[in-house]
Amino acid sequence: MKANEFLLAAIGEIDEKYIAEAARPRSTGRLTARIGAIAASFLVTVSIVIGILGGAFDLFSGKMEPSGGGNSAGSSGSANLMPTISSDTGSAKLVGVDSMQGSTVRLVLYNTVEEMEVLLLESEDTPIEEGITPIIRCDGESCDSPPTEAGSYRLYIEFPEGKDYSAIYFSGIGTLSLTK
Amino acid sequence: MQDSEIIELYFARDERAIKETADKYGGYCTKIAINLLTDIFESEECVNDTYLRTWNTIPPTRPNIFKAFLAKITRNLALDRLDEKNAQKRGGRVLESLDELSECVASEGEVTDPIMLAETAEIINEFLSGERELSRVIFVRRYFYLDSVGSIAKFLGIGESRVKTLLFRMRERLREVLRGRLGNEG
Repeated sequence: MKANEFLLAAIGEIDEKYIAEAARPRSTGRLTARIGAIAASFLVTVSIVIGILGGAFDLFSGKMEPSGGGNSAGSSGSANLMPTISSDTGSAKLVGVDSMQGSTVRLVLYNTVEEMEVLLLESEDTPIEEGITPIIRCDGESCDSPPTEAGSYRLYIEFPEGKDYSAIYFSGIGTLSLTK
Repeated sequence: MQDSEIIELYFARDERAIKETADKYGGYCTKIAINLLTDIFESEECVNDTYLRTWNTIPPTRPNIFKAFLAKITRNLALDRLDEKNAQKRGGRVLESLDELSECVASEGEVTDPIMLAETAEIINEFLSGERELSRVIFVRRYFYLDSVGSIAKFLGIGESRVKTLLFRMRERLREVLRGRLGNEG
């Protein structure tokens, strides 16, 4: 077997976690806004693990507001949201997960990015079906109309009815200021 | 049905396991097979072989990630089918990948030691663990799933030039990691 054929075969034996990682759907809204002269680009990944555990909404970083105002009206369910953050730049921070009701998760993201992609990834237990695309809204607007100025934005992920995905990833590249 | 439930069907030797696998992952496996074989009928045969191999493997094997487990079987079976063909009949995607991976190995030397396969896979695992997620996903989609650059770019919502650049840099780094192995003395 030639060396390159051998290498191709060896890649077929890599750890299954990498195979699964690369198979997770990555699409949905893409926000693009170029602000300022920040040249560095970076990638930020925020993963939020959501578990339906009952009880009141948990707060992250002490910033989460109790449900009842704004879009949380009518909330009848209860959830325990447990965000975790990983970042290779140290410049992104999830300020809070406001609420979760039905199939909608409301998030507040503090970030400094130029381009921002909102990505939904499946959990191992709940694979996302092909063709399922969550609706991403920013301050109530579709991500087709992304913010163009630095400011405070709230992101909404609307899951398809009846779906319970347990991981959401946010990736940001570039320089869009999202501050609370 | 959850993966764990499907796996339990295999352990119970319940033939519904195959139907559930096909319903949930048939399209996924077919996509992998088509990328290598470029022929829908042959790909379907390959996927059917995947179900049979899975049936014969579970038990005793209990996959950690069932989807990736199926992907590996499908890919290996498709590569076996390709080995039965001559090089000219190989799919273009395979030739592209082989051509690109040649950059990571300096010579056209032959590798015959099967033990090296697992060792090399471990080296690649270590290499991947040190890469950023975006690069890692691009690499695996290109050289495990054998996706085209265009489809990777679309999948990730980034430009094709960026995909090519990241792949090029990863191949350079992998070449360094593999220095002294696989005929790479450079």
